[in-house]
Amino acid sequence: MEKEYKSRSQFKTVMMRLSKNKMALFGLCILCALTFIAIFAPILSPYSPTKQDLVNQFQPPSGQHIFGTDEFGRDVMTRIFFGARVSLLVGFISVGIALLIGGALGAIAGFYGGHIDNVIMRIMDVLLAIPQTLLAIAIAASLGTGLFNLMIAVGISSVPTYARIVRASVMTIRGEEYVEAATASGTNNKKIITKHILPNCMAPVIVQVTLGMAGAILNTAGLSFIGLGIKPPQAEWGSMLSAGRDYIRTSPYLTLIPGIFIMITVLSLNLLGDGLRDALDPKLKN
Amino acid sequence: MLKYIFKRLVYLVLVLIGVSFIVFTLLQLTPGDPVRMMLGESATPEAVAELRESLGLDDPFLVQYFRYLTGIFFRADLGTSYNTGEPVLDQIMIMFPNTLKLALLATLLATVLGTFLGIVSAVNQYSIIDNIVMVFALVGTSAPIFWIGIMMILLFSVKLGWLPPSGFDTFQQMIMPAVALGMQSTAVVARMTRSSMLEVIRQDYVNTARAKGQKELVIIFKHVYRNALIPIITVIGLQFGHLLGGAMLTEIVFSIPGVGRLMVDAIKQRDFPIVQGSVLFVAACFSVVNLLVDILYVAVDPKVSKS
Repeated sequence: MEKEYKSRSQFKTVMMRLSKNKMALFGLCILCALTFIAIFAPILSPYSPTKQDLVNQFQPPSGQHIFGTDEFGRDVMTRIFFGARVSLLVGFISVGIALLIGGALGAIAGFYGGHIDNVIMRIMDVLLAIPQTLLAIAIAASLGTGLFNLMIAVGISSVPTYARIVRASVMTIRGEEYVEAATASGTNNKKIITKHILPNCMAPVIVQVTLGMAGAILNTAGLSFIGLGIKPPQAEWGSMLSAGRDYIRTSPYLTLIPGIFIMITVLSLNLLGDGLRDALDPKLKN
Repeated sequence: MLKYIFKRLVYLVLVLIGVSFIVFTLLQLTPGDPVRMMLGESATPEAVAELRESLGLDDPFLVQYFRYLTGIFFRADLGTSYNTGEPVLDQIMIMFPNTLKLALLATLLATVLGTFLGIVSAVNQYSIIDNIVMVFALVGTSAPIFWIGIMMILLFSVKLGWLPPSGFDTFQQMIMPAVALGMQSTAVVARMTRSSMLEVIRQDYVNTARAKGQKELVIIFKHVYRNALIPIITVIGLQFGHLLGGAMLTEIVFSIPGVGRLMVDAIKQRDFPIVQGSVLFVAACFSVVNLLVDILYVAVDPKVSKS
């Protein structure tokens, strides 16, 4: 009961600090709006994201087509709405993959230390030696194109970051008295890690998840831009931008609009991530 | 210090062996037969088998890997391109100067503009200037590099006709790629400079200098900036490494013949040796830069070298 009260109290304190941060709230509002657009895309737009309408090619933005139409006469706004689904989904799932694998590896390395820590972290060092974008490209090139492979590529390339963060937090918490008490009372290691250690090292992880999603969305767009992500006709912001590049002189809105949406999404996550960092650890402000 | 450098160099070699194994394994898993890609679908099975044998593709995985690894260490041989038949290292070395030049220019921009903006922002904390710089920093870190590049082409080449949209030979051709690539790093350096300066600006010795009647400019550069420099140097070094890796998207947007472009073209043509070699080469450069930053860090900060 006391534990529940305490955890709620800490949560409330963080939320109170977050609610005072106007920029973070602004980011959260944009993110909620984008999520709404992504979920209700089929209801919000009367057009199909993939059906071609060659009679209406390259229509500039107008009342009928707010963001205009592309080279196949498809409504750009509809494709942007459906593209939001891909971006947010890839961001969410790939960060989930990275957190699951990286978090587990980091927790094991940090808790057990010694040779296990050495082996895991040296493997992470090898992965960190390859710039993240390059690693994502190499994995995507090996797995092939498609939504699932894109999530794996972006997710795996972020594993070392989460492993390092979780390991550092676990190593700090490992020496706390309540962990020693749990060990002394005979609780098994798995339970100590999952029940006592991981819940207490969530603060840096939450911040990294938010900022990591922003990075994942940028990487996804980059991979699709060079033809290693989502293939047309499926709507994805990076591939829309890449396709629009051929018509930059005549229809610049085809590149302008997807880019703005990528930027807004990443910006909202960065604002929220910064706000969460300040709320979880006010000492870090500035 | 020498012992530290030696230890780090040995570790660097081990890490690069690990990178070579990961990259080699990844590309072995790739679906599709490179021999079929080279000879075309109409090739006879005999011709395919002969070429597979001559390239050593029928050997067990570990045999192929050790041949690759020994080639790198004893002959500086990163393999031969399936498409052109030329050594991979030669092709990378033709392209690398452009990638390096691009990354260096972007780093220079990030260093000069980023530190300037960071200092101005920190000195004028919570003012309009500070807010404008921080908004720029946020937008800079959020906008995709390739989109910034395309928007610059649209504005400065298509609309205004001031700068050429592609190529990388003249200074004019280098401006847009360097700015597009350096934008994110400029934002990162500006944010780091600001926060690092703000930490120092409140120290007692700064107040003392001010109380003694020192000029504000002297206080900022002599007492604050110099003491805030270590985290800034670290960030700049790390950014240079990231820019080397991230240059590929810029190279594609501005049609620059660099390592990134070479790699992306090789992926499309399933030219595995080029892809392996490029990833390994960039990872090696990235690791060397990180090592240099760490050494510089130890050299600059006496507290680190003592520990």
